[in-house]
Amino acid sequence: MSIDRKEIALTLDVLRRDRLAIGGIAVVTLFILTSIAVLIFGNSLVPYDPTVVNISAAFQPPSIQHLFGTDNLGRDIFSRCVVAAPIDAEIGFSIVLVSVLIGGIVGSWAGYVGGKVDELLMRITDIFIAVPTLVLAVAVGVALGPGIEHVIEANLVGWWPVYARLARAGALSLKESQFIEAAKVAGLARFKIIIRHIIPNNISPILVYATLDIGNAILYASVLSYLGMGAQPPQAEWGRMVFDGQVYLTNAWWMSILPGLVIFTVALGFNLFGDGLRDTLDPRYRK
Amino acid sequence: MSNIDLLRLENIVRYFSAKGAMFYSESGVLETGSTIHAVDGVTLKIERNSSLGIVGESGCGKTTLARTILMLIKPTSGKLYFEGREITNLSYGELAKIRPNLQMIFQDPFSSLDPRMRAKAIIAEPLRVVTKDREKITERVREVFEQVGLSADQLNRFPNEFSGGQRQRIAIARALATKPKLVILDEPTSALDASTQAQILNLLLDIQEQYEVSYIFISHNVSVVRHMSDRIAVMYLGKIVEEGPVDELLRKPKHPYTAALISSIPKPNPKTRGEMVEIRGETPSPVNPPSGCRYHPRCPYATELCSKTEPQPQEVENHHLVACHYPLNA
Amino acid sequence: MTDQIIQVSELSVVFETLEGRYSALNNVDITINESEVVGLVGESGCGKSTLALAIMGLLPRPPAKVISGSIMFSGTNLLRYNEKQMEEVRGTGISMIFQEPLTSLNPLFTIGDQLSETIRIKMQRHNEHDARDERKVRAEVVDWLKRVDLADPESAMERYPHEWSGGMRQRVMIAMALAAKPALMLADEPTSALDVTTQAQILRLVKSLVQEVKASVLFISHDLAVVAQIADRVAVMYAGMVMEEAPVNEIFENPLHPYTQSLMSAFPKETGVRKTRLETIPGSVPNLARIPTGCPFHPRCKFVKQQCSTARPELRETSPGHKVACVIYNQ
Repeated sequence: MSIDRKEIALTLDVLRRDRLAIGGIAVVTLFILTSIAVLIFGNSLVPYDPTVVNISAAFQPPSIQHLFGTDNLGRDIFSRCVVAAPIDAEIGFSIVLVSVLIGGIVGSWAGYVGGKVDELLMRITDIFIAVPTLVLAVAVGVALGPGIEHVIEANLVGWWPVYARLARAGALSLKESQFIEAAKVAGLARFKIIIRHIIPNNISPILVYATLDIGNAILYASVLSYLGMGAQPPQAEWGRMVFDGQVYLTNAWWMSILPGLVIFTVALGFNLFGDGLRDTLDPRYRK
Repeated sequence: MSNIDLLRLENIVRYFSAKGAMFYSESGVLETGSTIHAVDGVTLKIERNSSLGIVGESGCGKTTLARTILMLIKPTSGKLYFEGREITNLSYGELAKIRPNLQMIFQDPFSSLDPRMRAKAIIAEPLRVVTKDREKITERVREVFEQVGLSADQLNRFPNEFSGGQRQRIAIARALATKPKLVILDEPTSALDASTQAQILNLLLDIQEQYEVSYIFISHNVSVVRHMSDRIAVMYLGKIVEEGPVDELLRKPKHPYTAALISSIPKPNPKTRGEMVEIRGETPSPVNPPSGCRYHPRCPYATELCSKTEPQPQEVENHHLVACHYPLNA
Repeated sequence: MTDQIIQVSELSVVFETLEGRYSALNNVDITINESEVVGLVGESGCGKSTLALAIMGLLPRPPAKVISGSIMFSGTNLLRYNEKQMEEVRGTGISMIFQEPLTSLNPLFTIGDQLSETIRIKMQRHNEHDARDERKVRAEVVDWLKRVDLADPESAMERYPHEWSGGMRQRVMIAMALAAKPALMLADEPTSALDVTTQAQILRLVKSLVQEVKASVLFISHDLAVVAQIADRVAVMYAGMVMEEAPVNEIFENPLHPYTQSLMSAFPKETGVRKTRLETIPGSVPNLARIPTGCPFHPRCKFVKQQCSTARPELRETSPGHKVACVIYNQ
């Protein structure tokens, strides 16, 4: 698959004019860079060790020394938030990436080939779409037990059907194109047509949706962690921190609220970025 | 030189079922029906190194016919022979072996090329089905690209970097890459400017001479078809109403529809005003074709026989067939 | 001297887009007289549609910008009119029909309703007291539907646009365009999307109705042959400029401009030897963002001279009624 230079230039140009999207990109970039930095440098990146207990410093409100305050065990919340970034990054990206892969291939195939394969796929995705994703994720998560991989898997189950639908819709509209007919006339096998022509031309809507979706995936992961699945203590994780701080909401609001705000901001960042991306790919904005 | 025709169609029929299909009747009003009689019994043959033009207006079935010849869709009934061998019921895989010999050039140069592929990949595609030899493929792609008048340094570009005429050249290069014996051209110049059209038609003529390839040239534009073909077949509502040598058919048409079609064509000569013979009513839809001779509701010479019995094609002169109870100029 | 209905003088229009500045019209002069059909011929991208939209005040501004010129109609410069004033002109002063009638007819209203509206507006503007008399309006609608050969007008009135075929919709468009009795009707490729047999019907219809209503027509087409059948005078455009203008017989018998000549020979003929190479013009129509300097046709012209790349040729009269913009006729 090849990228077109002129298209990228035009996309960047339109994106530049959208302030909200720029805000979103900034947040997303910060998030990704932070995650990578933490993976490379570990705890040395942050001012305080996120696991060390220091009761004497407990319940400190946000200040210059502790930007987000400290929690009930005296741990610096800001440091814990930073160190928790790669966990949600891993969860969010994994869920969406794997969903795109599975859903993309299954959906493209169903859409292009049609017939019974398509019917079967549609019934399966119908089932998954009917069940509320969160309920399904919680159920699966409880069944699998704690741990980050289980959070990913639990969400994955209900996540891929949407991408299958998107891919299928794209395949349906593309399969009547003249260049697809040309590929058939050339004698190309069906799966080659799907891989070389259908999927590359269908990337845009899936890319946009996936970008928006990472924010959602992070939200869902946080909820599962809040409910006790996913990362286990003393591992810092945003959702878990919200849960832990709930009890102290009245006297140490920063314990729950600030990690919650971080989750919200990161999710919002992906949303705005995705919105901006969708707008730029909309041909109306180009002329 | 073998006497076997390159391509032969025997009574090809292709219906589409479309429950509640909407169509426009002869009075131009929307009605509903259930079967589209797109192609309704077409018998044709094409020889090597020759050109057949197929002319007709919207709803006549020429595009469906093209797709059936290319085996993109299977006929509802009838038989298709390529170089003497029946190919009607071959599987997708078996057909792939014949495809290098049977190619197509589509109407719209803007949608017949994958916008995400570079020119060289587009042209290489039919070759990759035939051989895995990378060097041979690159060599051939370059060769045919230059043959269609494009310069090799543009091979790495994307379709949107080319003009409409250039894209059509890429499409032609793609069709010729495998040195096919037969190429079907479906309105190849309708989307192009007058000057570009002339260039492309010239290119097609040159290529035919060079490759000794046969053309089936489909168009609604009679002048263009005349320019490119040896024989013409006129289609109306899924049937061939007349077929014969180009000049003879156009000078002395035998079917009333052919006559009306020809006289409806505006000529670039203001002195010919008032010579257009008008045809009655609208082009009916293939969902509910008239009984008997399909043209009878609009034909000034129609009789009761025409509304009851469908005329079969008869040879009225040398290799000139017409399906009419009362052929003109006979 | 017949009256001038509309006079376009030195009109220049550009489009400012993300991809650059397109010069759609470059100092265009064109006049249309009373009861005259002027054919405007050119390939795609020559500016002919832009001219029509400019006259109707339908240019999207931005990105379009009129940088010079005037459009005189009934003594006023239409370019100075605001939207409200243009609305008064449209319909009864100038009307327009397009290539694809489906997009110009409102899908939610029956054709009877839409035609009635046009007729009512006409009655109001001409101060005919019948505007409120529904029966009179209806009678006129039926009359017009009959004139455009729509079978069974009474029930036709109750139908919606999508229920009609392309040819029928075009007839309704023509009825709507002429029912308001405009002084000028603009027709932008009205038959390009139709079958050739339907086209013949529509051309005949337009010719006869326009004479009845005494309207002038600007008939835009890329098809020289169509224009030959319907126009009294023909103007040929290339890259935003009028290259040649002459009475229809004159221009087909004696085309002067090299571009006009190439255009005429680029079409496969009815007679003559088949399967021979057509005379072609090398190169292709220029991108309007990069129009060649001087005469826009000079890079492709076989008679090109030194001055063609620097000096823009003016439209000059070589014989009565015949104007050419080419340096070789400037003696």
